[in-house]
Amino acid sequence: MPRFVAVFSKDLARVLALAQTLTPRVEAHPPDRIILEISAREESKVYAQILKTLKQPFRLAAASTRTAAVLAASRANPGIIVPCGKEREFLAPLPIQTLSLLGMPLKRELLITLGNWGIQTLAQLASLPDTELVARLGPAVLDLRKAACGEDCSLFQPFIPEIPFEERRELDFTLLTLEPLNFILGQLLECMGERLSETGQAAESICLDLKLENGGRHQRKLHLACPIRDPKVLLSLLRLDLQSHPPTAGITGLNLKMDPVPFRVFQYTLFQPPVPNPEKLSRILARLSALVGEDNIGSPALLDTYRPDGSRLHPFGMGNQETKRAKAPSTYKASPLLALRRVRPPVPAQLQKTEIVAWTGPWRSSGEWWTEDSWNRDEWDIQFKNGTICRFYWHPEDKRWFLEGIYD
Amino acid sequence: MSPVANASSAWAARISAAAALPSNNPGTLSTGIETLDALLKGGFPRGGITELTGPVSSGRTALLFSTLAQATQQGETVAYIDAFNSFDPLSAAKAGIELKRLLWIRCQSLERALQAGDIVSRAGGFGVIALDLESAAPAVQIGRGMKKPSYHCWLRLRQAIEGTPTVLLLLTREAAVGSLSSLVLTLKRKQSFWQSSSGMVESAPGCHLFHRIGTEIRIVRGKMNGHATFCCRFQ
Repeated sequence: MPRFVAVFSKDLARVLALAQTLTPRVEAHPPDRIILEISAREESKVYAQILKTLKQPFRLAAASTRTAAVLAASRANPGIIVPCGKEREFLAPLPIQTLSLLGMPLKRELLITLGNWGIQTLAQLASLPDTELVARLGPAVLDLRKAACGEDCSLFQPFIPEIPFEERRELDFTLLTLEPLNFILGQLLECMGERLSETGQAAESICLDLKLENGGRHQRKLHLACPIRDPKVLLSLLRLDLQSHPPTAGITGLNLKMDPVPFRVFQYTLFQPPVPNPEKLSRILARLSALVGEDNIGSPALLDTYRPDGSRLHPFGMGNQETKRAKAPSTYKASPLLALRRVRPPVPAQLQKTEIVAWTGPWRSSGEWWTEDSWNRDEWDIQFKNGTICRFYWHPEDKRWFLEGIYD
Repeated sequence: MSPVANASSAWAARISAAAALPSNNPGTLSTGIETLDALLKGGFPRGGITELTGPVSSGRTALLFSTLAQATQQGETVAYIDAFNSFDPLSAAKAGIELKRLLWIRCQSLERALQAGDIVSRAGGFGVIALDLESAAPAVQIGRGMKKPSYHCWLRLRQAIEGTPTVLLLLTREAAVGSLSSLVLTLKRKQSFWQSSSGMVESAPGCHLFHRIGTEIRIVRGKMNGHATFCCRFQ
C-alpha cells in the first residue's frame, strides 16, 4: 500500500531535487508544496532522510492519502507520521480553513453558512450527511467533505522534468573540415537520441547553429519528412546537408537543437501497397537534395491559374498521403491522354510552311495584365511531315514563334 | 528390375521438373490499356527494367503516365526522374496521376538522372520509378553528342530492383539497356486523326481540331511476342 509524504518548504527547488533522489513519483505544487509517493516499507527511511537533509524551515507529514498528508503537515513541527487508518481521527480537530492548503476554493459565504450551523472543524464537516449537504450547498461541497474525511479528490499528477533537446559545444581549436565535426555531431546526436527514446519522442526538425572563426554564424534547419530518432540517420542527414551547404570559415563552436514530437511507429499492413520506409525516405530525400538541389525535388502541385506551366513543387513526405487499400482490379479508360513534354524554357523557332501538314489554332491565352509577370500569346498545335506534333506559341511583343512542348 | 533402375525411379519421384517449381515473380503492374495488358499478360513486370522506345509523338509519355496513374490510384508511391525537365504536371494530373504520391526529381543532366535513379531504386518501397532520359528540346538526344550510360550503371539499377515490387520504366528514343532489360517495347505512330467540318480526317492539310493518334506497340524483347494498338486522345 502506498504512503504519501507532504513537504512544505520555501526552497522548493532543493526539496524537489531531494525528492527525485528518493522516488520517481513526485507531485509538485509551486510555490511551496511537494508530495512524494513511496512504499510503506521505505516510509521511515525517507522520513528520516528528509529530516536529516533539509536545513531551512520546513513542515513534513506522512499519511496514507495525499490529502491527509498535506493537512497533517499543517500541524507538524517539523515532522509527523500519521498511522495508517488513523487519518480521520488525526484531522478531526483541524479548523475548516485548513482545507485551503489543498488549493480548494473556500468561498466566504460558505464559511459563514457553515459557521452559522456551528461547523468549525473537519470532524464536524465530515459528520454531515451527503444528501442534505448537497441539497443545501450544492455538489461542489462534496469534495470538501471528502477532503475533511482525509480522502483524495484528484488523481496523482507526477512531475515530469523538462528534458532539454539542445546541446552546445565551445571548441578549443578551430575545425577547418567537416570530418572532425561529424564526430562531435555524432556524440551529441547519440545523447539526444537516447533522451528521445526515453521520452518516446522523435525529432521533427533539427537546427544546427555553427559559430565561425570570422565571427559569423552558419545556421541550417532541416525539416524532416517524418519524425526520426535514430542518431545515425540524423547524422547522415546533417552531414549531407553540410556537404551541400558548407560553412564559409573555420568552426569554433556549435549549438544543436531539436524539436521533439511524439514518435509514431510506422506499421505496414497486409492490404496496403508497399511504401518507402519513412526513415529511409528522409535519407534519400537528403541525398537527392544534395545531388540536384532542394528546389528540384518534391511533389508537384497545380496552381489555381491559367498561366502556362503553372505548378509548384511541395516538399515530398509520407505524412501528406492518406493510406489506401490496394485495389486488385484495374479500371480501363477508353484510351490514354496524349501528354505534353515541355521545353523549359521555351526555345525560339522558325516555322516553314512546307513542313507543316496540319494545324489547329490560334488559342489565345493571356492573364495577370495588372502585374509585371503578365502573359499574352497565341498557341498553335502543329503536325509536321515527319509526324511530330508540337505546341508552338506566337509572342506578339517579340514577334517570334516559340516551341513550348511536344505531344507524346 | 535392376538396382540402378530402382534408384533412378525413386529419385524421379523426388525431383520435380523446373517448370513446376514455384516462381519468384513479384507480379505485374497494369498499364491501364486493355489491349496492352492482354498482350503483356497483366502489365509491366515488377522487379525488372522495362524500356519504352520510339520516335517523338508516338505515345510513349502517354503510356508512361497511364501506368503511373494506375500505380498511384492503387496507393503506391512513384518517382519520376526527369533528366531534362520536360515533365508537365498538368498533363500528369489530367492522365489521372495522384500528384501527392509522385516524387518529381528534376535533374538537368543525364549523369545526375542516373545517380538519382540509383539512390531511389536502393531506397525501396516505390511502386514505379520512371526514368525519363528523353529531352523535349530537339538538340538534346542520347547518343547524339551525349555520352551513353555504361553497362555497369544499368547493372546496378537492375540489381537494386530485382526481386522487389518496383517497376523501372525507362523512356528513351532507342533501346539503351540491352540484355539487362526485362521488356523492351517500341511504339510507332500509325496515324493522326483531326476533326474537320466534314468529319474525322487523317492528317489532311489545313486547319482542323486535333483529335487523337493511333499507336502500334510491339514487343522487341520479352518473354512473349506480338503487337497491340491503342489510341491516345488529345487533351
